[in-house]
Amino acid sequence: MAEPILRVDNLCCGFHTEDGYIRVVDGVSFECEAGKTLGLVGESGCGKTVSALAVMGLLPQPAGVVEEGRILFRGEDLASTSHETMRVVRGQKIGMIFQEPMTALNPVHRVGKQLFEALRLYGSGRDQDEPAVAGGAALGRRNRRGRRLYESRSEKDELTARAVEQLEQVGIPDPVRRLREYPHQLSGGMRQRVMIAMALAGQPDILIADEPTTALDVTVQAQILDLLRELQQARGMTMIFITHDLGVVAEFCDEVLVMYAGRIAERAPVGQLFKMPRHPYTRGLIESLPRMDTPSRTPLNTIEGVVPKLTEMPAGCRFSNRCAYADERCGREVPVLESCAQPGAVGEPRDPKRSGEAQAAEPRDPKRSGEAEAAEPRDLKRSGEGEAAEPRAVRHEVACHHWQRLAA
Amino acid sequence: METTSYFIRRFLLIVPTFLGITLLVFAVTRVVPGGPIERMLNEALLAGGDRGAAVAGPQGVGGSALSDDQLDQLRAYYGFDKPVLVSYVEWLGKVVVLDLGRSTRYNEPVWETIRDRFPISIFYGLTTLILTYAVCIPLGMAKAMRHHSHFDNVSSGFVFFGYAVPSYVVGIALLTFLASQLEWFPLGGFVSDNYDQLTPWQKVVDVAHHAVLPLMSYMAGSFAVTTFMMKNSLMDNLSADYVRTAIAKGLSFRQAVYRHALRNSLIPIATSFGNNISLILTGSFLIERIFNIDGFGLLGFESLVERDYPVVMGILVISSLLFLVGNILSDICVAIIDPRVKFGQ
Repeated sequence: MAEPILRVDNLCCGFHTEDGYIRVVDGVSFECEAGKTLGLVGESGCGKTVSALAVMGLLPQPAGVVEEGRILFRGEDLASTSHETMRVVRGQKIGMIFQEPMTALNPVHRVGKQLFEALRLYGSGRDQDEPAVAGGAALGRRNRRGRRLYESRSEKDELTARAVEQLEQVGIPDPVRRLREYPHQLSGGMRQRVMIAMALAGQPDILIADEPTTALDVTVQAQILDLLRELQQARGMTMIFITHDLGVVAEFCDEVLVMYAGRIAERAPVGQLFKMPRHPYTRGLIESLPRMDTPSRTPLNTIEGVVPKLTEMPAGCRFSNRCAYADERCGREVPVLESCAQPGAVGEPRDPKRSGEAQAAEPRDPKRSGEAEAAEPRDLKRSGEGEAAEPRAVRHEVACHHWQRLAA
Repeated sequence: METTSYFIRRFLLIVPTFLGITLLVFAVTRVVPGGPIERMLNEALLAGGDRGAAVAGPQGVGGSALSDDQLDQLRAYYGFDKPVLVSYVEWLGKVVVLDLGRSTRYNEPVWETIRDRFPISIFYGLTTLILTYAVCIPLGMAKAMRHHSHFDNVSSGFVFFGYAVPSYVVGIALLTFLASQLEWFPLGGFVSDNYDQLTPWQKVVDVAHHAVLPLMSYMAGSFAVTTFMMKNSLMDNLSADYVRTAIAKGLSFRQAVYRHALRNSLIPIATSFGNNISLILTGSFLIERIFNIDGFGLLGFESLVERDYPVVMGILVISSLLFLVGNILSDICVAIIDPRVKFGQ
């Protein structure tokens, strides 16, 4: 497997609060393959957003800290790099869109001004072919131009043209007029489109989408998801998609990371996850989804209990107090993430269809796999990875002492 | 367009509000006991006591020291001979043509009495206003950006101390130590006695020299409110999503603060602006008294004590107009800063 574009290694971060330090993300590791979408799933407060903010270096200061771990973007550790380099990484290497388009745009500046500001930072925006982050220092110098938003008439015209182009790309009708409007004059969906346009203005390699559709109504959600998918394919962009909507995960992601209380519970290719969830928490999540074929008036499945407070976490597995399979070992020993995918690995004889799945990560949705292929050529150029040609082992990991018992 | 017509309506609304305020106070001056005539009677009684029965004898009808004729004359002099509404309308008719009547105490036009105090009050009012904003906004910003640092904690201590101690205590303390004991500053007054003989530059220095202590006591109290309003408002905005967006775009923290958070955090400051204008221009009679400054506050207080109602009403006219205009001004400020504010819908 080629070097992933982003590798997060044993990330631990937390916040200094009035009651002392609280670790919120505890030893999270993951990789993003270029051109793919990684889903981060889990309930509110499980650390998915904090992990993403840590990658961006956006943890609230001074309370938030990355205590240990590495965040390797194309080999460079973002956790220990300089502020200058981070400023180039943000926006131009990794873009981010947020959950609340209502509050994510500055209410007192026109849409145009906010877009211009981004475009100005990114220079001409069309010379992105240079070798990635190593050019950080050079880019930084180029970006430190004058303080005013635009220096001349012609620069403003150029910015306007580019901003209009950006807005057109995200499907905003009448972009010239929108540039002159304030955020409160746009609908929620429009604002999220503006956010996407702004996040993509720097041609980032990775887009982190933090619950981008949660605050929108359902029809608009679908539009925004379609837009993101189109843009990702057109640009061969890598995406980290944070959500708690398993439906969105199934449709959108290639690989899924299920998080619970600051730790990874399970990671799997999306098809695998839905077909064979290994972690009791993942199972609980999937079982609580209502299905079309469920007879009406069936009570909805739920996971009993609530997430314990961060200060009152069980010593061992953090899910142990809500888990039907937990024993005293679970309350004592922290389960490590171990592979549960390799055929022939410890006790895995159950499913006869398994071997077939190992070859294709997502056999479920023919539309999706078609799209994945469409995106492939660009990926190959970018990462030089021969994924399509050479099927490789499914990577399915779970952090549970009893997954084998559960699988049986 | 809508905003313009809204502000036109706001300005028109000044008229009924102004009428309401003045009518109320005018009526109160009629009702409260201890009016000028009663005072006059008391004085006459005391005087009568001194001079014995010679005067009191023929005139002492009903225990009053003054005859009915004299009382009627006095009532006519003070304008108490007509019903409240009638004399209010008369008073109002004069106010419209900028005649505020004559002070019953100084027996000179109210306008002249007030006009003499104007430069002093405006000087102190505007300087306090400007200094308060010039110091509090940067201080609040610095405190917000260095929340919980030593600088923040120590400056909070000073600001709260100034807030907790009443401004007249600050004034007396400053006067005792810096003026009386150390003699760094004059003991009071607006200018020195030899002011007229000074060169223009010396005059400026003289006024400034006299102004330091009163200004410090004026600001001690208003400091805390504005500084902490600024600090909290900026801190709220620093944690706002759009600041995170700005940094995610690649802006530095400072750029995000100055270009994005600052303007949003000025909104509450702008809202309180109008209130500050009127409060500061009417001054504080305690501070004026301590530093022997002949300003609006002292005038208002003294004329109230002396029942010099034409002056009281005159000051009320000016301060209520300032208050009303100040409110509209702060609305305009808010509308300028915050495009979401749409009036008149």
